[in-house]
Amino acid sequence: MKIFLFSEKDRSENNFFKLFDSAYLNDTRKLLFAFLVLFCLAGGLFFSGLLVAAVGGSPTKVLSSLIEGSFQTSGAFGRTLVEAVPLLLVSIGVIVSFRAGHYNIGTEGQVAIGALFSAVIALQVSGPEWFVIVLAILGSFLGGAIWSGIAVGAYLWRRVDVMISTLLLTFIAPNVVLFAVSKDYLLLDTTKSNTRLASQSERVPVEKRLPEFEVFGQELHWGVVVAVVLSLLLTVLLGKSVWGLKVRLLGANFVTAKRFGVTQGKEGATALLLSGGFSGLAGGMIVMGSAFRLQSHIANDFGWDGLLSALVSRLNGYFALLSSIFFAALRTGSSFLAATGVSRTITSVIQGLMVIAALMPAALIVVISRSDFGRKRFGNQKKGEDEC
Amino acid sequence: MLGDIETVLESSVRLGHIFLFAALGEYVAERAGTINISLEGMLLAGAYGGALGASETGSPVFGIFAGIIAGFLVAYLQALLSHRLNIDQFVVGIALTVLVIGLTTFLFLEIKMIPGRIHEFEIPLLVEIPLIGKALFAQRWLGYVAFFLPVLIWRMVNHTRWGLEVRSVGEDPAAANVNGIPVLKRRRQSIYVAGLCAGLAGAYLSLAVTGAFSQNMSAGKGVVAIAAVLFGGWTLVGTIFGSFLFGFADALGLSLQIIGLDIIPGPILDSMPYLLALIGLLTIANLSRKPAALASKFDPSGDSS
Amino acid sequence: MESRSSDNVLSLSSITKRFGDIVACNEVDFNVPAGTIVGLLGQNGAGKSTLMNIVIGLYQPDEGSVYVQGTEVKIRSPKHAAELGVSMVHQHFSVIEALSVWESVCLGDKSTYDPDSVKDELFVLAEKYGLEVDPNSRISELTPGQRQRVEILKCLRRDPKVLVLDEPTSVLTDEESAKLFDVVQRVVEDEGRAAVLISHKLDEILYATQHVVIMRDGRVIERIATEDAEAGFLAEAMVGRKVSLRSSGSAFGLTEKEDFKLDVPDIENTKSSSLVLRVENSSCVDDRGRRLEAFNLDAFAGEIVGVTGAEGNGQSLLADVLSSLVPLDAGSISVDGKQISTGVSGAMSEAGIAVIPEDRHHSGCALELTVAENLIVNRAKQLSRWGIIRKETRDRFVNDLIKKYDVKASSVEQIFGNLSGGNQQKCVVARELSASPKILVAVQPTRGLDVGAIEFMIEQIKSAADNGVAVVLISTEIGEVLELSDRLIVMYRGRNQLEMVRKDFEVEAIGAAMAGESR
Repeated sequence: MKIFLFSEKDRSENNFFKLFDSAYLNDTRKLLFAFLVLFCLAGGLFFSGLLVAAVGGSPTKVLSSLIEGSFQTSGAFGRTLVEAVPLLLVSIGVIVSFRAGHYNIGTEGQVAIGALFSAVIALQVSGPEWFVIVLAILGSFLGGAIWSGIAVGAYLWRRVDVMISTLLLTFIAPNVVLFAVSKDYLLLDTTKSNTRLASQSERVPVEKRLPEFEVFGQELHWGVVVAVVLSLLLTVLLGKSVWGLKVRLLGANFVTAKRFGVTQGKEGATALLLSGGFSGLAGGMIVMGSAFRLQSHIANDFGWDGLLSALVSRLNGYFALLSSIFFAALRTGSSFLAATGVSRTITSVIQGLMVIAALMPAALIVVISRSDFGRKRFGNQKKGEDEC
Repeated sequence: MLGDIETVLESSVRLGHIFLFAALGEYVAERAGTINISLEGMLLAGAYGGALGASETGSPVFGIFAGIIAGFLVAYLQALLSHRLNIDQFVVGIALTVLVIGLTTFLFLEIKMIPGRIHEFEIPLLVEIPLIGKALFAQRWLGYVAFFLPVLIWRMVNHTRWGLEVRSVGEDPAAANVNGIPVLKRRRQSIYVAGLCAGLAGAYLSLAVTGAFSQNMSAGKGVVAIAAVLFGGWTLVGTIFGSFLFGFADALGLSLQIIGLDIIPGPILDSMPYLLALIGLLTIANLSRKPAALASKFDPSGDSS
Repeated sequence: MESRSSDNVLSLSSITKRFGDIVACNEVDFNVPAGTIVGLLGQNGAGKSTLMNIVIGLYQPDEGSVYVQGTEVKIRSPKHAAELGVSMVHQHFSVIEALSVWESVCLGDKSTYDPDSVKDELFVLAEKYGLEVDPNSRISELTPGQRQRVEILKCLRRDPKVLVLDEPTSVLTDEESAKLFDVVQRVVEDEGRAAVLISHKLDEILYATQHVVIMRDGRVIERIATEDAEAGFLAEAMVGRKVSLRSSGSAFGLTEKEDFKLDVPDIENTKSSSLVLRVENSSCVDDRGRRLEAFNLDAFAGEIVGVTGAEGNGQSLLADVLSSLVPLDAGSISVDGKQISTGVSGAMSEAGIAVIPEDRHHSGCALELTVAENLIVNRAKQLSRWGIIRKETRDRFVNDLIKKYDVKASSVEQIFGNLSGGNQQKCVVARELSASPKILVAVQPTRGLDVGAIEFMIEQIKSAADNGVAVVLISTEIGEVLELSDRLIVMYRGRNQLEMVRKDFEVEAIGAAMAGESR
């Protein structure tokens, strides 16, 4: 009798997941929903193709160069996986915070600060290499957590919206990094190679970088393993642990949560700090694993893309593995687009369209349930919705 | 020194206008109980649309209209997805902003534009007023809209039936619904207003401030505009004050670097508007006055029993 | 009188309205003759609000037709209803706190926007009916009585042919209620309008109406001229079973002011069991204006303490305090002699206070989580090892509960929001009672439930008390309170207005106390 999605009036503050989570549907409709998801993602790609065609490019060529650049050429898949590391870490962090009912969308800034922390440690701490590497990675986590911690503090103290504060902090972060890399008493590269004194740090010495290894001819670094393990761990914890239940309870209904001893100050703050920490970790991976030096634009949209990848994964940790590889493939593949005559920035359009596409199934279900067919099939929705 | 102050004030007003136009629209939308992260996207779309329109037609006036329409289009999508199709408004906001950034970046490289710049127009006599004269009365002519738009918005929100209904929808959607007010429709309309205003802000940015479009040129200005509304405690005067305060912070950063005063390091000056917005939210902003139903969902098919 | 003559200003014919497979209104016929006030009587959930929501265009009927002054109409919206001459005074105020009086009054109008003429009209109307109120003051500054005045003025300004009054006195004092009915009677008799009074208070119905229609479970059970009606008969028809005369009278607010006697209860004599819960001198005010003032409550093991009063007199705040949602400003709460800190997340639950909340969606469950997760949120730790919830242990526990409380769920992994309302309520009860609490706070436990579910709930409450749990039953349904309680407390403006033990239950005194009278 009860209609999916609208069976009960939902008075909890946050009914985001209601429309976002296929688990909310009952079993018979899961198939329809899965189909809708695939249909919409395909639709997103289709529109991207249309756009390419509209500016005079060839959609098939673009697609094949993207695949070539991200998977087919030698070592490309390894590069894609390495790119996916920060995206995955950011995504998992975003998923935790969104599940706790807080929109941490300032991941880009947290990535930058995490990168800053790891660079400082890697360049200025002396000691055994493995110790410095571990310390730098831990430091990047701390950096990201501190940056999101400012938003946590502002929320707990004055209830400043986390979404707004994390966003504002995102625009401050690159300036902090720039400050650090433009002062010789901080991180500015003063070696002879940097003759024009560009705002960047020295390179992290080879022995202090994340150790690399080779599988099936693909060059990977240990960050790949760390990221996958951490993501799976956090996803399992979120789904199956007491802590995870508390966090999700907080996100689903914070009043009920309060009755059972779950609070914004404890679980909410932890989720946000963890989220920031994971973004910071992503920054650490970038510095220690691929960029090897700090620049003001070190975050290079990894924070944004990780956020989007989380949205496309529909806040599911397992799907985030796939979506972060997809987003990474767009990044690595884009360098092969030059030959097609289409600007590589097409990939950012594709990203945006995919996020919209990930939202569409929920919207389509609303449309269906409001149509005459849906009303008959799924029960009586109030007519005259359109007047509202 | 006096000249320096004059310069700072001049650019404060110029940059403050960007925040002001966008914030005025967002003010209306928030009074109706919606928050639009996509304001950033609307602003950027407005900037691109403005530049494209002016470049294609050779007339800045058409450019302005094109910018407003571009902002409106983003707002239309936001309203459609969040207040007709029930998708979470914040997620829609993020998605649309990202899409606009991607799209404008892509199109910017694909289509060449030479937009030209809106002319400066001095109001005689008034421009002679010391200190503030140049800042207020020697603007690019689009800037003078700032004298009228707040009044228009104020009249709309406080002295029309539409405004009354918008406010009621933002305070208590269930009660408004009982009174026969189409809640979601008013919310969508308020978002359209935000889109038109943010589109204007964008066109002003690309046509009057810089005279050209560049990638992601809004750079968080939309977010600061939202912060200005929050900072202003959801009052019109507060919003206007917040906008110019952030504009001043922005201008101060730029000017001090140009003047060459490096007591405060450049990167910190660049962060000024964001930092100030954050500090403002933490200290002065009265967050308790917010519309009672801000950011809440309303499902008209919900059974009240 | 029952014919569909054109004398009837409003006439409903075989109206049926379903929500899912719940039939809220089942072939209801309902007529309102000109110049009369018709009472619509029924318990919560009987379908009277649904019926009236159809009349004002908030719902569309699935079957049946609506006639206004003899013409069949389809009422599309409240606006449309107002155009047709049907206006409603809502139970929960439809005025908006942040707006001013005149803004509230003209909200929803279609005419051109003219503040001055609205204010003038208001002034004239207020003068005419003796309902003074300052058009420029904010609604939030007004007392409940004044807000009700604004509602009435708003309604009358539209010059309605039919006024629908939905539980209009639930937050009013007796004096204010009497004044309200005077105005309505004047409007109806002198000006040839008609009115529908929806209520579950018998005294109001007997006092103000000419005809009574009684609804139960979505059907019209009885129609009768008020002068032929007797309180006992109406109560019986409304509840659907024999009720003792005394409690039937009291259940529905029948208050006769003579013969008033206040008994001071002697708690120590009635109960020899141990004191479990003590709420002492508790005071607090919350941001929604709800307040407790030096409120006291003792609950002993194995007894049911009823807490009642007109809605909005602090009962819901008391419940929130006992759910650790709101801190006290003064006073204390102790369980088994140990003081519990108030407003501290989880403290009350930890101390053994289980709560069946008034609005489970607000503070009782998480719709997005699964059934299993909702059932274990208060004991996740016990079911886990190394912080991971053990699936087999959890499923065994959850399945036991589902079986014991007869919850209909497709699987333990079903999303809670997909359960029907009744099953959701069962889950909440199951979770709360499974924690073997010392105290059970049940807030409006039967509101909005169907008959079967009500019986189940009452059974659970009784058996909890039999098992030695101290039960605090917070309810505005006086019938329920009288039926179940060993002792009752009447709250008025956040204070203890009256306290009584079962053998002294005195209808008149309770009614008077609810209206704030004390001698």
